[in-house]
This record gives sequence, structure tokens and C-alpha cells, in this order.
Amino acid sequence: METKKLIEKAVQKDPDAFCSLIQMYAQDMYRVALAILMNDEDVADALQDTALACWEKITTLRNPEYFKTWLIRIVINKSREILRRNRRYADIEDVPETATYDECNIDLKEALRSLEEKYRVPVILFYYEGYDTGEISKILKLPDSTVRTRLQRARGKLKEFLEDPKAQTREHASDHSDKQDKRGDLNANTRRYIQTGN
Amino acid sequence: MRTPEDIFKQETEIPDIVQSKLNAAFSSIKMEEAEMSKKKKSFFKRPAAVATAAAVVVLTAGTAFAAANGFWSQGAEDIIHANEAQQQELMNSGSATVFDDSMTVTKDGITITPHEMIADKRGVYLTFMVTGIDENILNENADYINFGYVSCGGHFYHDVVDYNGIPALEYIVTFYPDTSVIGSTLHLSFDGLGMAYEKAGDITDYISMSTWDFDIEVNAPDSSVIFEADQLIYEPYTVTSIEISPLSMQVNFDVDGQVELGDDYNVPVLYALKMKDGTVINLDSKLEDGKPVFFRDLGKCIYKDGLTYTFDDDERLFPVSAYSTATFNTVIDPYEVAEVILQPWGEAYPWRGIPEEIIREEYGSEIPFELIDPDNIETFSVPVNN
Repeated sequence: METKKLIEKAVQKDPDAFCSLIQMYAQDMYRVALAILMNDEDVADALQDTALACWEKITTLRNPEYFKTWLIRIVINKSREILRRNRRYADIEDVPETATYDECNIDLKEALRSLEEKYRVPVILFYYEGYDTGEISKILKLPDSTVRTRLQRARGKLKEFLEDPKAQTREHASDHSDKQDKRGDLNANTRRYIQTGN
Repeated sequence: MRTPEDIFKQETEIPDIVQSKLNAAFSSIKMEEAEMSKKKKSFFKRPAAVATAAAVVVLTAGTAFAAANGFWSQGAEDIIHANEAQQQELMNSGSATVFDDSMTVTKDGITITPHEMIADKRGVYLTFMVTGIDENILNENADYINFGYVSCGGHFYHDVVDYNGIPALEYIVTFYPDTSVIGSTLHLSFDGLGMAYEKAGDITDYISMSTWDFDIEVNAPDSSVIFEADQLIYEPYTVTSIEISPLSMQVNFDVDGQVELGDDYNVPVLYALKMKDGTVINLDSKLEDGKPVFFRDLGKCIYKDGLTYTFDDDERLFPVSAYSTATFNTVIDPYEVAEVILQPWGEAYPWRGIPEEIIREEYGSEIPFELIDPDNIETFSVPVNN
């Protein structure tokens, strides 16, 4: 069935049409959530939350042409919720385990890992999802000029990474380590606040 | 050597863990719908129930109260510098609205109250009073308090304010739509409140992880006055009309010819207004307390009818029209404008006229810009025929 008809049926709360649509856009949803969360387990939660939230709100979708954009926005919101939740409850002593289910899409994950978080989503939306900078600025609620700058920088960083992947990985690991140190202090503040209430 | 495009052309595989959670969602949706349709069948057997189902609930935004003494908050005055007479005039015309507290939402003891809206077709400003934050936190950490996510751009006013005798923080939403939102209902969502200790960083100490939602109707009038014009600025841009409201303006251009688009747009930029009494209102960046202030929109330059911007530099465009907009941080009388002054788009925009060290200090070393002496930039004056 053509996509437009599927969307029309989904808006009328046809569960089969809705599930077919979500499956059709699953790769797009996966890539956007991955750019924010960077691990498959959290991405799985984000996509499940997104599917359920979209089903609940599908009747509010006024223009079927914007279904994909609407869906992507919800993926971003749900992924950020998970990110916030993880940061809220993360203990600085926790070391993320490497999971076996993180073994697929290695090239994509390595390329994304070479970029800071703020560059990853614009890159995915531009290169994979085919949005222009104006559309990305609306999806991410960022000025168009910021989106263009981020894409430019991301492109430069990706080129550097592709020229020498190991150097980039080392550099990024070092940056990440610095940030973790700072985050450690802040998490101590968080814990203090939770314990004392002020 | 591989390019970014090579990486991003590869097929993406949906990992098993992701597919299995999606399948679980699908099962849940199908089961829920099956349950719902059973209930619907029995529900619609009763005529009264049909009538209930057909009823439409209309949610309206909080009504504006007659603001005999309801002048603007500090945050609103920070956005639009208006004297009391101008504030009252904008309220009388409907361009500014001070809300009552009917839209207040309280979660986890934190109350957010929409306070006022100032709007026209090119800019919408909303202020929200945030109360209920522990006074110890307000005293020690007010500078770090932020929302985790706001569905529309905004920032906190820089100081604690007094709101009906209670210490409050005031959040200012600034929204510059590409097309007018007059008559529309804006949905705003504030998600999570806490302290972000690093500049522009994430919240690390949460006060509340709740979400506060608001639906606010933009019921301001379109107060623009349109002045016709016919003046070539530089090839291929000819001004055809100028729209000026007390709060913003737009210059419309015919674009007669081919435009090459690199990283920048080339549409002439609004630079200043010259008033009939000789005063000049500069629309450019400015310094306040030694720091650049960019809370107002510095303008958009947008091509219409055929924008096909791509990331690469070799794209060519064949637009037929364009416009430049600016919003003011003061209130003006459109009929008192004598000239509109434009400048060519420049690398430094919108950083013109601000010392480099201040930009570096405030925004870090990565901001790409080129300093241009504003006095040496060519300007183009367009008389306003009023």
C-alpha cells in the first residue's frame, strides 16, 4: 500500500497500517535515536516509547505529508528523555559494558563516535534522511545558521576521521575523559542535593 | 579514500534488540485497539453516549485582563524597551497581552504562570513566571537554573524578580516564525528544571523532572503598514515594498537574475531606520554591560519560490523574490520612518561592530567570523513613501 494511504489509515487509528508505517520508518528512527543515545539498548527503548507515543497521538497529526518529520521529532524527544534519565541516575562509578548486540552498523557507529553529540543528529538528518538545513533547523529548533555551521564542522571532522580513524578515536576518547572528570564533580553535587534537599 | 557520503549511503541494519522492542510495542498497540473497539461497540449503543462523543471541547487560552495597572514584567521590558504609554498603546491594540493566572500549571511544587505575550507577524515574545523554587537554591544557584528542554527558544531573565511578593524567575520565550502565526495556538512545553553548571550544558542537578505544557493562542493583530517601493539596491535585488509594524519590519525584493549561493545568503540585510526627526535606530548587534546581546532577532534573509540550498558550495539558485526581516527592541511609529538603510550580506553578520575579544570571551574561540569595520560597509538608503 502506498505510504500516503497508510498514513491516512493510521490517523484513523488502524493499528495494522500504523505498525506497517513504523516498521517502514524503523531504520530512519533507529539512526536518529542512535545519534543521540549511541547504544542499541537505549535506542530500543526510545523506539518502543516513540511507537507507543505516536499511536496515542496519531489523531492529532493534521498534515500526513509531515508524518516522517513528526515521527522524527518524537524520536528525538524520547531519546533525549532517556538520555536525561540516564544522566539523572548514572553513578560515576558505573562503567558501560560492551554489549554483544552493539556489533551491527559498526561503520556508522564509529563515524558517529568521532563526532560530538551536537553534530550527530544534524548529520544523520542531512545525509541519511535528506532534510535540508531549513528543515533541520525546524526539527531541532536551532537557527539555520547554527545548523549550517554544525554540518560544516561535522563534515570536517568526518573527513579527518576517515583519513585517520585511530587518531580521531584517541582524540575523542581523551575529550570524553576530560568531560567525564567534570561530570564526576557535578554528579557529586547532584547526590548532595538529593541527600540534603538543598 | 572513503567520504562521509560513502558511510551514510550504507544500509542500516535494525539490531534484534531494537526489532524485538518494536514488536512488543506493535503487540501492545494491536491488543489495546482490540480492547478499545469492544468498548466502543457497547458504548455507542446508548444514544446519550453518542451525543457525548460528538461534543467538542474547546480549550481557550487564558483571557487577557484589563490591565489598568498591568504593565510589563522586567523580562518583557528587557526585550522591548517601551515606556508606559507605549506599553499601554500596544496592550490597547492587542499587540501585547498581560494574562491572568488561569493558565498556571504546578508540578512538584514548581508553578509556571504565563505572564504576557507581545506579538506581531514576525516575532512572538512570551514571558513565564516560575515560582516555588527553594529559596536557598534561588539565592545560591539562580544563575545556573535552566530547563532541561523547552519546545521553543528562550532564556531566563538574568535576575530573580518579584512576582506578587514572591521571589520568581522569569523565563522569556522568543519565537521568530518564517510565516505568521497570528491566529494560531502555540504549544509550549517545559521539561525538567534544574541547575546546569556548565555554560549551555546539560542539567546535572534536577529540582524537578516534570513537564509543564501550555497552549497559548496568538491573538495579536497584524499591525504592519505596507509602503510600496521600486528601487534597485544592487543586482539582482530590487525593493518592491516595505512592511513596518511597531515591533518589526520586512523588506520585500524582486530577484531578477541568477544568484549563486555559497555558505551565505546574499540578500541585502536591514541595517538601520532613519526617522523623520533625524534619529537613527540601529538594527545591528549591540553591547550591554560590556557583553553582546542577541536576544532579539537580527533578521532573516530568505529566498522565496525556489530555494534549493545544499551543503556543498556549488549550488545555483534561480529565485524570483526574497525578503529581509528585523525585529526591534523598541517601539516605533511606522509613519515616522523616513528611510530604511540596507547593507550587503557580510561574513561578519551578525557579529558586526563587536570587539573580537568580547565575542571570544563570551562565545569561545570556535565562532567563525571576520571583523568588519561597520563604518566602512557600504549602505543603501531606501526612502519610505509615507
